[in-house]
Amino acid sequence: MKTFLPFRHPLVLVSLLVVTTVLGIALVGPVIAPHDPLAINQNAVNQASSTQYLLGTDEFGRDILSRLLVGIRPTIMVAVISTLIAAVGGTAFGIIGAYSRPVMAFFVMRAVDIMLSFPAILLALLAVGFWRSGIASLSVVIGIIFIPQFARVAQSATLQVIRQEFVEAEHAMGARYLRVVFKAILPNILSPLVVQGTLTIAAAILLESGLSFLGLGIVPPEPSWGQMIGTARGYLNQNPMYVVWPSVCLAFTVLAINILGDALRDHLDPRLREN
Amino acid sequence: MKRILQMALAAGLLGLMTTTALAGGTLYFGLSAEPSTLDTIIQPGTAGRTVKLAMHRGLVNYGIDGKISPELAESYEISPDAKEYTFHLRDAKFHDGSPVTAADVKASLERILDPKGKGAFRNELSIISGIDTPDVKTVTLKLSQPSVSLMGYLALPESVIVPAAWLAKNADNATASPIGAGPFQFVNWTRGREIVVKKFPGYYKQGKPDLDEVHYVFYGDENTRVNALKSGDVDIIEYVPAKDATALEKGPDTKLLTMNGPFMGLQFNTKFEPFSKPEVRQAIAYAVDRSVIINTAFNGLGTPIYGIAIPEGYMGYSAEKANYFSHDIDKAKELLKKAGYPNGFEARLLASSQYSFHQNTAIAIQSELAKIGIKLTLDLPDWASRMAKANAGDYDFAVLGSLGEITDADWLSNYYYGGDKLVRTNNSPYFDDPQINEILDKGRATVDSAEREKIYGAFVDRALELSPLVFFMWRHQDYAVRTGVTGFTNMPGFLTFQSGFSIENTKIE
Repeated sequence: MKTFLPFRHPLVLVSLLVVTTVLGIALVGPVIAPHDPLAINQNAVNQASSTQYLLGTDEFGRDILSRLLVGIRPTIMVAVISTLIAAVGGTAFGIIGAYSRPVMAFFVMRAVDIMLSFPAILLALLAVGFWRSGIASLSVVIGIIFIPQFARVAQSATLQVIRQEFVEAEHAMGARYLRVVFKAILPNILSPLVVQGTLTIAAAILLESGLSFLGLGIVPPEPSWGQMIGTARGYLNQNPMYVVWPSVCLAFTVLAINILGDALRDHLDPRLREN
Repeated sequence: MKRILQMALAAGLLGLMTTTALAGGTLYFGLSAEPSTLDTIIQPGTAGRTVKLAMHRGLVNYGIDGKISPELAESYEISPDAKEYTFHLRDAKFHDGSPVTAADVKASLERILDPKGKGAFRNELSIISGIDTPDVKTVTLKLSQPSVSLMGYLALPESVIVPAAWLAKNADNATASPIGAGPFQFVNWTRGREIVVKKFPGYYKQGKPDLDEVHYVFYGDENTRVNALKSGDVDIIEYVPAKDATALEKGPDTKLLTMNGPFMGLQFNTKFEPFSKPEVRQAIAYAVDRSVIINTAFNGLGTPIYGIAIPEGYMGYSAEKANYFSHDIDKAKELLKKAGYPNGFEARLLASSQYSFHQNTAIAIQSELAKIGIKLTLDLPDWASRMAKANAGDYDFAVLGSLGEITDADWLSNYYYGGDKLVRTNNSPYFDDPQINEILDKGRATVDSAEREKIYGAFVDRALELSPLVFFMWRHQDYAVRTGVTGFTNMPGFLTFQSGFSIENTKIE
């Protein structure tokens, strides 16, 4: 009997803690925030840490800690929803690209290639520029942008699976297309997709933060980490710690998710699995 | 002896050469935006005006002292009834070498007056009913009604003179290289990066300009712009953000040129139902604590306005009416109730994320109006989209950061007049009050200044009563220069947006 994965690697354990904390805060952040994240205090602008404001205040005298606690929710929501969209869409495209008539597969995979050839941030900028920015539109845009990565992973995994005997057996029994896909293919390509999912969540968080940083993401005055970094950049002289807090939070969250994703990949890949 | 003479001569020559090498030079000017066009008759915003004023001159312009300065016109006479203006042109040349003639003036002004054209100040200049050119060097403007403010509109960067021959060929060609009679001539425009102009040796002012070349570099992001100045990439920047003003003032490599010029306020779409009621607009004037905007969006720099944004010393200013409003939430709630909105309402506020003071003013107003139950959604596009929406009247209300175009009291017409064009950049869309129109018409046509003072007093009363625009504060409009740059002037009061004019005096070490 092997011990549970995180307890063999302290780094993975720490990452798991960080991710759980972040998810927890995304759930209860507004409740535990010490101040109203939107409350302007004109007499406490750009203050350093104090007992009243643990992490100081921003250019409106709003509490930075409260804004950090509340600002994670839109980011996590966008990341999770967009990853779901990308996973469903990308897996569908990938399976079609590997397991359907060659003409169909050709067109689907070339379409995926064309999308892959554009830098993600550029596509996102274009799309967000046309629509009103907000959680819904950001989720859809970022979700669509990450479809090709999923499609590639799903396609290569499906190609390996469809030559195996159990798929042949389904065919021999006269199973219809959808039954083959859901009963034989999907359960057997799930593990690379789960790993791709964790990587996509981290990338989506970064992309959303990047867009908010550029002023195209979450609409102010609602806080988000990327937007806080973007604003704080202008106040380096007055309040240097203002830029540090959201940057540190963002960096550790993304790092933790990536470490978890790596650990998960190692765990699920039989060739890399340790005895 | 001969030897000494030779040496002295050589030294003198050397000295002469070094001084020529020292004078002139290239100046890099950090603009806050890329101009949408260099078409002279369009008001493109301050960045575009700065470039225009390097290349063009009008019959008259506002000089660095804030007074009308005769430029292409050497002198002018105004008839006592203010219905006929006569200009005598000086011997000036356009950049292509052709002389500035009365025909060029006529063609340039006619293009502005074209009812189908895009002239930004056509409304204001359309009182010109006839342009006579008795000889090559004389232009007479006949007005349909007397106007004391005409000179101000002729001094704007939108009324500059361009060659008639160039217009005939290029009037509709937006990408044609511009030609004017200003101190610098156009070299090229690298889209997305910079506009380069070089010294025009045939400029009519002796010894000007001093600079050989000016690069107008576009920095849409204000932090990048400030850093470019600090690092020496550029020598002058416009639109210094309030949060960086103190640091740039301290230097040691930079200097701040500060001016209390533009105002911040709100313009209301009077087709949006709650804002069609004067009580609602007044309620907003009472509800907003000015110091919240000043302390958060402007780092504490600015002066509150509790009346109409007429600067002290300008016609129409009255100390008595300067504090018409106050910060009074109860009064605001009462007015809302009277208007039929006891529980407030929802509205969209248009501002822009490109200038942080616009965005931050909107955020401060949002939080202030929440206290009387008005819930706001912010619309914060880039500046070009914001202008497009303003020109189409596509908003419920909008953050207004602007100033009077001219120093004459008739600047108010642009903001308050109804007329046939009810959606303009600076007015409250669809606001049209016959009484205000009449007062403004009368003010423009009255020559006697004591009489005028009374008329504009009546205007202020009516304007406060209806409050189609609500003002909050005077903000600083700052330029910052690197030490070694001299002669650039932040022009006084309302003219700060035309400071680009002073590039002809600017020197760099």
